[in-house]
Amino acid sequence: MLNMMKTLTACRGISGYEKGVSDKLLMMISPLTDRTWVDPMGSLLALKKGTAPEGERRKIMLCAHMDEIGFLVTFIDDNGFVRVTPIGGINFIAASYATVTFGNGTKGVLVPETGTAPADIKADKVYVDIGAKDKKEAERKVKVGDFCALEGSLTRLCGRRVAGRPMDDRIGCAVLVRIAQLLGETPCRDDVYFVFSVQEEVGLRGARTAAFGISPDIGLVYDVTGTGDSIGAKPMACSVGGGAAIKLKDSSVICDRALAEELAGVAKEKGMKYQFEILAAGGTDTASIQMSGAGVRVGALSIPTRYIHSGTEVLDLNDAEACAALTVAWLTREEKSGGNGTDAEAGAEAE
Amino acid sequence: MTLNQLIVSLCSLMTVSGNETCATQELQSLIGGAFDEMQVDALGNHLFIKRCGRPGAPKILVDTHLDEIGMMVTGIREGGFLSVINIGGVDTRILPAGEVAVYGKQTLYGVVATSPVHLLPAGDTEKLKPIGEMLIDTGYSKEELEELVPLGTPVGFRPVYTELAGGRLCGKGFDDKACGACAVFGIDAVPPRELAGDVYFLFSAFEETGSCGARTAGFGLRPDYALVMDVTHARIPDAEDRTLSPMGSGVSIAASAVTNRRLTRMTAELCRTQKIPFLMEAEPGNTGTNANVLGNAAEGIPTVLLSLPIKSMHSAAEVLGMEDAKALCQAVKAFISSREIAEVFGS
Amino acid sequence: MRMYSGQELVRELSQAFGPSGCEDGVRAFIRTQIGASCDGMTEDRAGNLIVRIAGRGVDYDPAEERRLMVSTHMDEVGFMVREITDEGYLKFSLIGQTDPRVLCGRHVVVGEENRTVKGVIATKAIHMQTAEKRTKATPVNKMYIDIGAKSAGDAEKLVQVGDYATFDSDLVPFGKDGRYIKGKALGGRLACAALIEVIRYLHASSCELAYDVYFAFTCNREIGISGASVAAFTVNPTLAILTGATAVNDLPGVSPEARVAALGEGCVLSLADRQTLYDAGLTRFAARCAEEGGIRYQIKQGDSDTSDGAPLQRSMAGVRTVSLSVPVRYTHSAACVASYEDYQALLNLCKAVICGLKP
Repeated sequence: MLNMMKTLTACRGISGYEKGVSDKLLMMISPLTDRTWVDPMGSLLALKKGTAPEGERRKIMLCAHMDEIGFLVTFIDDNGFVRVTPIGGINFIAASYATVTFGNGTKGVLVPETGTAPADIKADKVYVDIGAKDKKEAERKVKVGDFCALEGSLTRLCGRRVAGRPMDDRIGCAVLVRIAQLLGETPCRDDVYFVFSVQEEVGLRGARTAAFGISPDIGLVYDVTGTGDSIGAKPMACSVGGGAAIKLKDSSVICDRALAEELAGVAKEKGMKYQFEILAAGGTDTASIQMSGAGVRVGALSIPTRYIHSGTEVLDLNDAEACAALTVAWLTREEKSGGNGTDAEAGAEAE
Repeated sequence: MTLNQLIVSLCSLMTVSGNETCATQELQSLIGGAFDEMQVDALGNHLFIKRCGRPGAPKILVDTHLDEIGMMVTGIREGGFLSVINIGGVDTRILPAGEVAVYGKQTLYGVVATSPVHLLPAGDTEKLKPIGEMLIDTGYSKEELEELVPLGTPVGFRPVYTELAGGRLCGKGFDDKACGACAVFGIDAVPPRELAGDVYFLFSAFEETGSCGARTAGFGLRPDYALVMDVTHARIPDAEDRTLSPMGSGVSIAASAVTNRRLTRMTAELCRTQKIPFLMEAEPGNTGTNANVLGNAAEGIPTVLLSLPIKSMHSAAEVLGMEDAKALCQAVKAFISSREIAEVFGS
Repeated sequence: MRMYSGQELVRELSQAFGPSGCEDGVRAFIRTQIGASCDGMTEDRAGNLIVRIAGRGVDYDPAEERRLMVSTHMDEVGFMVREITDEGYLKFSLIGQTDPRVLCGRHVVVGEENRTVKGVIATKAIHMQTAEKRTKATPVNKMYIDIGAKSAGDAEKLVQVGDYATFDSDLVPFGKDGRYIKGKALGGRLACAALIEVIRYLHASSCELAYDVYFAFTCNREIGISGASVAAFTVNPTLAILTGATAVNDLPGVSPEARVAALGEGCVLSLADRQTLYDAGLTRFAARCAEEGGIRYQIKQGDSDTSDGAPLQRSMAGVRTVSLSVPVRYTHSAACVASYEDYQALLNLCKAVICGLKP
């Protein structure tokens, strides 16, 4: 997991320009699955076929987003300073005086206009200094429409905790790859679709079209969630190191209650660490999947993370492992009489 | 059962968004008898079908939403208090010292805590706490609550219903189950052979959190045309800036860009000829209802929006006029029996 | 029916009555202007007009079902009558996002396509306002339309609650050699005019088309609950070109990085708007077409504004989408201003991209 995260945090891929991440993930996931493809929006999809006979396999969609927050170049002034617009929810205080990398490798520093009060640091008060003498030199390196993002990093802290960026949501991508690895050892009956979605940070866009294409029976999303365990945090019954966080609600979605309880039941039965998550502010791809097509039962296993969208997001790799292990336990659990538990009941009502 | 009784029975059900399937059995027994078939889908949409018996008949969708606003338990605090988060647009002004029901492993009674006004610093009495900082007093200990109230437990307003003068009814959940009751009454009043098509009555899920249920159900069902019913604001003394229908003036028919102009005109004409009281209500863009998403679902669904005027929407003491509710039943009845509409919009 | 082209076509479209939800007049006009110059014309259940030009040539393979959708919106901002006062004035609501500051004293047309009356948005005379009020914009709920009625009964004979209204504004060419034009509804209608001309061109010429091309004239864009999603669902395209207007702020005193784009600088290629990140590959392709064809273009700064990009791009399993538009000043007012040369650049770039796309 650590090595995977080292690789994934090293690639840049802001919303709309995810190719760098997509290429890396393709190399990781294709040996573990039966088929991979890229959809028109740019999401990477991979299918691992189930062991049950054709027609008896459910379609399970597991989704994590590839994109990270960043900036788009809007204007280059006469002195060669580069103006940018944010892509996704940027914390400008956290991003100020930090190094940014452009798609072609050019480096720059994001700085506020001199004299700007910290509270006033917004998109129109910052610029990127790439060290160019003038507009002409700057334009040789950077064009309007190019993207840049804060540099990626990964630092080991105590135990299995790590700090860096973008944990959101490369950790979810890593969990998906881990699940594919584990399913290689213990195959499951159902078809599992791994979806590495695009454009989550700008409005949960890629997961929606990917889900429409797949039309899954169940969708599960792997993303970071906020916690209540940092100093000054609002009360939230979710903490780093507390295990896989089974989402009940965030500001974009109310998850399928029966599915959440089913996941908790499996965790309890197997003695796996888990917690429930109710996130007051912040949305996830879960919402788009739920609303795609004729509607999908959805849930999410979140990785509790502190300081989300800053340059140093902190999480515990054990929580990420727990998400992967719980998913595999749920996918491969012994079928109770009657087949798929609550799902079969819901199906019976629908018939 | 009278219309009044059905309204109270349906509205007192706990159907906070995300918990629609908690009401499946009650719905089956309360209204299932009026239909040939019932289905529940992945999102908790409840679909009731009444067939006209003619093959190839138009598919008529009648939509009211099943879910209601409410709260969700996010934490258990010292001294037997619960913290909550809103589900849908909860008006925080009505919460302090309000009475709620906590639908945990058993249903608990609760009161939203508030501090004595004379102990607050001057000026603070006008401030409202955000809902995330409000607490619900349950009378149980923290340990007992941990056993009884799992995280994510829904919380709703305590269902109490009273009759006011002039056939006005007061209570929680009229948005939108009162319209649901009117739909059932209207549909039940039409014998199958008099129906203009097969009627798909959708008690949709997740309206209060963004019309998710109607969006997916509309996509899955592909009806020929649709009637959406929701509540609207009745005229009240301190809302002069908006032109609102006075309570008792019947059904409000929306003029809007999101609804179908011809279907709206035909429905208004239907009400006029059948002497069903109605008023036109201008809602140019966003209607704040499922009509927003149904009109554009899949290859487009011609939609008309009828509204029931109520007061104090999204509170524990919504007020409706029974004469308006009866007019709405009549309008549903006329709509689903209209051969003219079926002729124009049936495929 | 007379066939219009060039600036006359723009004029007729600009003056057609078509606020969101009431686009019938615009649609009927577009139908007559396209006439038989296409391989099929349908209207979907949301009121969108869809016009087909069949693919042809060596790269076209009907078995592949490659469809290109080219979209613009027909609707414009406007008003809806909310209440008729006892004295016969009309209180109204806005359809779409119009700045209340551009409303006072404007001429309007109220009614539906065949039943219209003229009116004016009146407000209190300056003498009757307090000094404080004079410097503040009047809110919409304090405005009313005067149609000259003497009483509510008088007014009800002419209009009813729920009726539509739009600005009443002529098309004026102005500036050196008449290079600018002023009119209402220029946002979508300039693109409507361009697409009509493109359809006529494709029908008459023998250029090769690797895709079946579906032109969609859509409804309800201005209210944000766009009919484009329905059109995209019906067409089920492989690729999409969104056309329309980009609201610009290229005025003195506005810093160069905040102007969005500039009038007279050519067709605008958008990288992003508030809801959409356009397909980078298709956008690069469009820029190359412009360079090769000597067509003036500019890249939009930033990601301001919303558009039909979102419903197109996110239709079904996703559609690669590019945005081409005309810069327009003072959008959503009675006096939108655009450059006729930019309009021609859009027209030419649409042609170049549609004909140039290869599978």
